[in-house]
Amino acid sequence: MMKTPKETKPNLIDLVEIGSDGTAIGKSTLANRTSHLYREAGRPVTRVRIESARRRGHDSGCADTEIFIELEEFTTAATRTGGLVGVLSPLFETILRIPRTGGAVIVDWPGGTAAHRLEVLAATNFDATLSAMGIRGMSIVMTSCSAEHMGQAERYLKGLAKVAPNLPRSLGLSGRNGPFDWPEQSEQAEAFVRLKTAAGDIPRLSIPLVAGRALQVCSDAGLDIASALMLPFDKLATRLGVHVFAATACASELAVWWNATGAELRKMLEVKHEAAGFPQ
Amino acid sequence: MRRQVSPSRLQERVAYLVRRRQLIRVEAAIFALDFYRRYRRLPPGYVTVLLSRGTVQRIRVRGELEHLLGLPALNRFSRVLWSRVIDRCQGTRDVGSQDIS
Repeated sequence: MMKTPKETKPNLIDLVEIGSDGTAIGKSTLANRTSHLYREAGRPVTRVRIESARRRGHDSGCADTEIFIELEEFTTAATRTGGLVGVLSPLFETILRIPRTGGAVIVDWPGGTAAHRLEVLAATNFDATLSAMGIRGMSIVMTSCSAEHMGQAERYLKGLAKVAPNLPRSLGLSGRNGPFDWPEQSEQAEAFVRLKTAAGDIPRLSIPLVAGRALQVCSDAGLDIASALMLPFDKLATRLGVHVFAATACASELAVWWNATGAELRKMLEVKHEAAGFPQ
Repeated sequence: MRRQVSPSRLQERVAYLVRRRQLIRVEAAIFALDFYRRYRRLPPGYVTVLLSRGTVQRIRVRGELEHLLGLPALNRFSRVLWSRVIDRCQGTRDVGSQDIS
């Protein structure tokens, strides 16, 4: 019998932050997929969720450890001097443990908190601390194809470059709201040109579009992607309220997205490009 | 805490679903046509993405023709179809016909 070559586990970076100023872009979906990617690579992963207290019970089960920080507490702390750093102490403690445990940390920042996050980065001298500890991190700034989201991402990238110049950045182009393709001289096309100029030569992550809003359909039914993929077709059909054939098609569409996004993420998160600014 | 899915099982399942896509592609046209007959609209995009644009267009045209002619299904051997077409041409009513196709 012919032996198949053993698949080598990718060497992935230690810390991934996913953020954007806009909401409903697909940050949590990407954070979820990233956590699964680390688990596929055999790396213990801690996911940090900053979300409304109402969603505390919604554990996706995609990470080995989940740290939940209440968004309400986070925004209240933002009004106090040094409050944010206090609220985020579980996150910092986990990051400090990376060199010892060999685990990875995925941070899913909530929408609308970009200014607070920049404040935290500046207050903690985040990028310099990571470099000193030899932790390889990356900040993914997400945007959808709407002009508003692209404008927010542009400002966010510029802010990050000023506040944390040593933290590698990347731009996540989410296909959630449609493709990045518009007629010339349209508002969106011009916003995209400005965004590309602000992004410069940082790595870009293209998250493919899922046909028929399959992601949102599952999300509305209270299913994360991995659960939707694993469910038997008849049960998925019942949850989604559709015919079994449609549920099968939905699951297969999600599987295609899962593979494509995984491949894109692996390309970007593998430690191989010194040009992106990873400390060696 | 929710039970975790093992990464290898998830990878196996994803590979199966991607393989399965080739099989369901064949059935997608039948499903889409049946869906159009029932609801007079196309099924969700994650179904139509399995079909070529031309096939989707033909399903839509066929569904609309059936609706216009009041037929449960357009069949070239259908007696009802031809009698209705002749009626439309002659201006007479079709009484007592039955689709036996």
